[in-house]
Amino acid sequence: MRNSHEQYDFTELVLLAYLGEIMPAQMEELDQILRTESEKVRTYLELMELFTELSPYGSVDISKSDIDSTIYDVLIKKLAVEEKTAQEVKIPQKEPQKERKTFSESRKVRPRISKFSLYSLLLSSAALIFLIVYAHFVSMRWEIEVATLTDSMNAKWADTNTSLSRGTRFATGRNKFFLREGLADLRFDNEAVVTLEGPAEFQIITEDQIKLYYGRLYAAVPQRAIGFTFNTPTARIIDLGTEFGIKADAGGDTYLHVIKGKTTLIAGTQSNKVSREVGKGIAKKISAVSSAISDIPCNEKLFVRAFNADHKIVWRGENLSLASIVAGRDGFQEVGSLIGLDPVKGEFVTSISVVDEYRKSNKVYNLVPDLQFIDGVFVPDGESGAIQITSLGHTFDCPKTSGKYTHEIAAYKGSIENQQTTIPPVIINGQEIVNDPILILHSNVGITFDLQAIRQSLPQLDLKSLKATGVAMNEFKSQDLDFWILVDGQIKYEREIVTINSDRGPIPFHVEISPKDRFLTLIVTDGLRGKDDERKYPYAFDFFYLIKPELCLTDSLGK
Amino acid sequence: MAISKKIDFMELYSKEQKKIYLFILSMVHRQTDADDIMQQTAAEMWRMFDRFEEGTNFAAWGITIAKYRIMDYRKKQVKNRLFLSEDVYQKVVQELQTVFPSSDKRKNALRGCLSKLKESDRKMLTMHYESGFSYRQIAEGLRTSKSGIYKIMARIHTHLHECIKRTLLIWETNA
Repeated sequence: MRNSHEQYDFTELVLLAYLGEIMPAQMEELDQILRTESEKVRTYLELMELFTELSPYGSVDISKSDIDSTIYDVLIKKLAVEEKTAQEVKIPQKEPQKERKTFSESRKVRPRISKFSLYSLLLSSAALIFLIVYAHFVSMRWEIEVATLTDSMNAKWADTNTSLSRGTRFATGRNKFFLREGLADLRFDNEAVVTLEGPAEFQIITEDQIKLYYGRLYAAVPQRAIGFTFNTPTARIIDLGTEFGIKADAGGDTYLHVIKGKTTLIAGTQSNKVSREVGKGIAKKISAVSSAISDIPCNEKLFVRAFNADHKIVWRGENLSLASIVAGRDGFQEVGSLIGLDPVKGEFVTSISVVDEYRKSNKVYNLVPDLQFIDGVFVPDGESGAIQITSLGHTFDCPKTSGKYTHEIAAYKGSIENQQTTIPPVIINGQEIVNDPILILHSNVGITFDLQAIRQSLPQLDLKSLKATGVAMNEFKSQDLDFWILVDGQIKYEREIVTINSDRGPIPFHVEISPKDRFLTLIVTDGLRGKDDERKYPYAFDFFYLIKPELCLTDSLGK
Repeated sequence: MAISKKIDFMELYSKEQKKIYLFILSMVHRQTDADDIMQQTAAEMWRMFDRFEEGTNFAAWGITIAKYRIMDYRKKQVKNRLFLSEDVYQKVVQELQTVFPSSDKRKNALRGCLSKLKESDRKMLTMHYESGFSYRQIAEGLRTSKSGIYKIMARIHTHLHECIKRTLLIWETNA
């Protein structure tokens, strides 16, 4: 049995052979050993396997940290000791290297192409296939730029104190990227978009393969990029034309939530892989310990699907809340206590006035510069003819009203009983609505939302429709109001609401919105159907509530 | 080729490429030549994928194709390369059948053994395998001799090899 020194010698011979630097005499020695010592054949193979695992064909990562200058001091000291005791290893003269690499240069690995393989295959009809496959399968050893950072928000990357700018290109290779915090959008050259949420560590393997070591990502993959593959430590997900979110946690568990389309999920050990097709609305968890695949609830709101750093908007698949916008939020943030907008001053107010007298219209359309998604507000009164309802001059043939209003346009969520206001609560089936945001429009008010501004804030998204549930309510059950929905001055919905009682219940609304629509206007006018003296509280308490008023969104990726 | 076929090929190839590469490397022992032959083999496997029978052994099929590539390579390289004798290659082929099945366990053991390496040793491996520096370049960068680097690398690889063997023995004993 050879001692350690002899073992090192054997390993050195195998290393020399592996690196192509073995001399004839050394090859004869290696051959002699393998012929006469049968256990050395096993060792030879195990060393070759070790080289393979450490190479790009293997799956074992060596490095835990980047090389820094201090390593050289350590290594130099170590080498000084070792070199004194090293036996001479004869290295044959090699032809000079064509290119000199230094530690300060880029760490590109030059691929080695045999002329035979390249030239002969270029002559064949299958050459194109070869080149595609070649580029694909060796792209990990190249640093090929395959993706662009199109946007980032509060993003901090490891190894740099500054944000990477839009347009930064990302390349394949062994480099791992660490997004310490924030959001980043990578658009691959094949049009796939990957939204990363830090902290996340990932590696771009090829032009259509990414490995997520941990963190969250959301992928939207168009048809032309079908086959895009996502690897985690425990699973592989192959896109089949879909959108999905992947979370890999620090413990190694993987979570897949498929939002659209379908994927192929592969998990398990090398010798026992399981493959499943996972479709829309389905989510799976892959255990790091057992590789078992289990069902979990699909959470469409778990992942950041789009964001806009300029407007500070983050979208997780929710619809845009009109109540949130009226409350001065971005449409995705929650509404809290009662808050509103004066329809005459166009000013944002943080509390709703409890008024003792009626307030009158100023008979103009009032712009709202404070809120980017609201075009304007007004008090509708058609006594003098059609009224302006958008900043571009769209008009509405409004009926005659009293020209008075008692409350601001308001929004809230939760119980209204705890708040200082005369607005009655929304009660349906004996229960106050507290879990949904509510937009309150009391006669006579109107508000116009700027759909173009909304689209510009999230260009990745499309506005599809408005939906809400409307209910007129007051404790006296003596409502007399009309509700209108208009798009660019065109009436899309009108409803005469007189004396709503509990039997009629809430009214659902759904209005389609096309990409060319610019403005959405909501108006409540008093009915003026009864004489003043027949109503105990004329014009007051004509509240119309829109429960959970939303603009339905969808992403436009892949179009 | 239909997209679903492409996905099937990618899936199988990703899973089995290591076995195919190990076979090639074991038979030609020189890394650069093994890389070339692997690329040729991959291209041919892709071209011939329609003939692959689903459910059969993809790695074995790939190795069969690789054997022909290796034969071509040897015919062309007989003057430029050094080879082991034929009976040694036959022993290598036989022994590979016993190496393949336990490959996963050795890979897992390797991970553990890497984590136990001294930082300086791991960084030596990183410089060569992950950053792509040759031994000569490492030697130049560290201002030392290439033979010294060979010595160090031989020691590190031997250490890893023995650590893997010990780890597997412990696992077998405790199983």
